[in-house]
Amino acid sequence: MAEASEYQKEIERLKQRLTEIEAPPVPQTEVSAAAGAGRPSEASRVDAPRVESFSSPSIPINQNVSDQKIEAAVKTAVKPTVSHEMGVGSEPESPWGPVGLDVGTSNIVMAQNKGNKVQIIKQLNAFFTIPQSKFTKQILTQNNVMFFEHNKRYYIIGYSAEGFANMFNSNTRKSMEKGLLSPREDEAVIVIQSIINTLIQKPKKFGEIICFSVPGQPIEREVIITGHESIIKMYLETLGYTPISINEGLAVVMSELSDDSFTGIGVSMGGGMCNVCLSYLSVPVITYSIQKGGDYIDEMASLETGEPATKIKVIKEESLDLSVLPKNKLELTMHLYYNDLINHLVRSIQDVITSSENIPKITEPIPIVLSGGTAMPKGCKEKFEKALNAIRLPIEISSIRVAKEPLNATAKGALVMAMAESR
Amino acid sequence: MSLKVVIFSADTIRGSMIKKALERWVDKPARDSGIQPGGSDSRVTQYEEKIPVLILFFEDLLNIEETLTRERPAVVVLDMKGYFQGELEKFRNGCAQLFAQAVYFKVLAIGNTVRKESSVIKDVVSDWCMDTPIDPVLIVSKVRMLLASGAKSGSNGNNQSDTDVLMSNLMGFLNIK
Repeated sequence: MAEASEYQKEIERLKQRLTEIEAPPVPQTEVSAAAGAGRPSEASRVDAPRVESFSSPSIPINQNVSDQKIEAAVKTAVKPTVSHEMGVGSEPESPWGPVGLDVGTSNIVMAQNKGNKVQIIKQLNAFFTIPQSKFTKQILTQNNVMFFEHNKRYYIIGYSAEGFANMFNSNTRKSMEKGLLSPREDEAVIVIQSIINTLIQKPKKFGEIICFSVPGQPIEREVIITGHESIIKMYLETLGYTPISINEGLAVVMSELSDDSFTGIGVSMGGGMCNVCLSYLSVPVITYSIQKGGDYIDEMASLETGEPATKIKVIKEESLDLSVLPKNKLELTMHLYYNDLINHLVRSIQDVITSSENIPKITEPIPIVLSGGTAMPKGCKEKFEKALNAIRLPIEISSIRVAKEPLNATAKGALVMAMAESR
Repeated sequence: MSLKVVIFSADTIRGSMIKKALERWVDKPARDSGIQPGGSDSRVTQYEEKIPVLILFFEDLLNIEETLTRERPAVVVLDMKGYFQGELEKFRNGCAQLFAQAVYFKVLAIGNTVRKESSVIKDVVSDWCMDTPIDPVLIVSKVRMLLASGAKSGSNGNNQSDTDVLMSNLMGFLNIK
């Protein structure tokens, strides 16, 4: 009898199960971890599942958390920016929310979301040393000069270093060379950590995401990028952040190509190097760099003309016009080396893209965006366009444009990535 | 019930491209379907009907049976480039084992289509795509066709889906066929 009743219960359960199977499915919405844009630095990764679930207009749409974050990140790319240099006596920020950090050869730039704007703060990536003394320390402190003590010397960092160098009729020293930590400076690591410290403090929320830029692998020579990346990553972890890295070229794409589904070529023409990234739907298909940038033009023009590199840099940034004929020997020299840099860059794009097997079949033409201080002089874009028209590429280019804010694009793109990856 | 598409690729960049392309399609299914709003009610409903799709990406084929048993995808996209012969054989054996256990799914292989007849996985593959250059738009289009054909007629040439098999078995057990 007991067996029969158990059998009966089993039958009832199975009938109920059959009814459930036959009933129409109820739409479900699941919240999952953000898939976001691709993480270029992680070699092996299983992406968190991403559920796309929609409903008819009569049922309210419950957008999942990861979609909201990605949407917020994409909106950040088009927000206006408010940028300023890290002033003397200013205190570093303790950020609330994800942070983007552009670690460049000439400048280190921090970006964070501030309401309906993106706040950008810059610091010069340079230092100057003076002998240690109590009197000097008193003067430096009174005048809010940014410095630290090391090996019985004072290391003056950032914009303050520029002032001191001018005073001593000398040049500042650089902690980075050609996009990477300088092998010639023993204190490069401690200097760059101190400079970063002038921009950001510990975050308000422990484990806040910070996305910092790293250069691509140079095509001219074998250089170990991972050492440079690891040093900065370790330091940011000690500050209490969760650091992730982004290729500089990809950061330009994230900042400038939101309307093109993050598909295109981003070129960051910086002081130490030029970084290139071909991105497909925010996946960095090709990334590389050439070790020529604005500093190359300054140095070569200085050798040719005998003028100091710092003077050439000022002329280049303030008055150089590449769209008109040069007025003097100095400008002629700068024109020539700009042509050299651009031709080298364009040829490298041709060589790398034509030899790559990873290029997907892209049916529509894609844009190229130039950013960085070296792309700013008037006429640079036109020279680039002229050089590009002289070569053949396996993909069609729709347009070439300069970033809306060439000096801030990398930091902004890093912020976009940080927001997409935030928890 | 959401549909699942599982991608296997030894190359993170290629796998990510396929995943992003599929996710993009999932964001805009109505536009890609070519069905315009307006017209009769049934067409409007069809335009607005949206299917939840889960897209997962894995790199290794070591635990293929466990992965596919757990995820129960409707379509598996296998990017053959970068996998060794042994791994592809493991994939084939794993799929065959799962089909024998009534776990059905369609397989889209991205490989050398010229040599597909001699490929070790040809018995378990439903459709092919050329691997170089990788064509994400074509892959998305083929995945959509496989999902649609799977919804109509079951998976991998078998005319019964998992749910249909269970229902049939239950009805037989309850003697109400």
